[in-house]
Amino acid sequence: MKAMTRKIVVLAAALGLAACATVGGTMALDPEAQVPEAGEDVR
Amino acid sequence: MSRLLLGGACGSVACLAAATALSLAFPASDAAARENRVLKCKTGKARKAPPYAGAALVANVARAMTPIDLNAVQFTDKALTREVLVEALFARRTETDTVEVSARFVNCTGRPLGIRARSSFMDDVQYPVEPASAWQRVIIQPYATGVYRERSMKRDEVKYYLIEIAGE
Repeated sequence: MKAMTRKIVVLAAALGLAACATVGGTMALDPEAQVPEAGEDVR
Repeated sequence: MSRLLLGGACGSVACLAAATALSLAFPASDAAARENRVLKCKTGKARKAPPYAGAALVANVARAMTPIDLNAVQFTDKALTREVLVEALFARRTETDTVEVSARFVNCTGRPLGIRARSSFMDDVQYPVEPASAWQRVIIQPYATGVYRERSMKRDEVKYYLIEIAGE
């Protein structure tokens, strides 16, 4: 019974983590949109 | 990524089934391009996106206004947020060390759309190093892309920019 409860807790935590990693969290800064330092990235 | 997390954490058949179901429900962000069909937009999803964790213009009184993300596109028209998406945003140094910014928009409506865009360039303390550019008109055909491009006049001191877009 205890092992079963532990499995359920682990499953719930993993599902929660996966959902956060996929649909939530702070959006990362897009490196292409940042202003390069002067002298860099001349195209 | 999510599949790896789940597989590592549990490893049972039930977990694998859950992982598969989850990955189907929330496809990876780098989804493969879909050819031979008209694009579909989820502008609501874009509106609900959290703010960037970067520099932003904030009011002198805390939380008196929504922070304006820098090095980003700011919509000035609520209706436009239901019609246009920002597909990509670029900033580059030119050969003379001015900054060229470029944004690619998508018209999510079934009619041609005219929008206006302008850029403001700032230094490292968000001081405006030059007047905002003139509003530029961008015409975007239905379910197609349109590109806006602007160059700063100032050179080395430009660190941040803001592109504002408005309806016509």
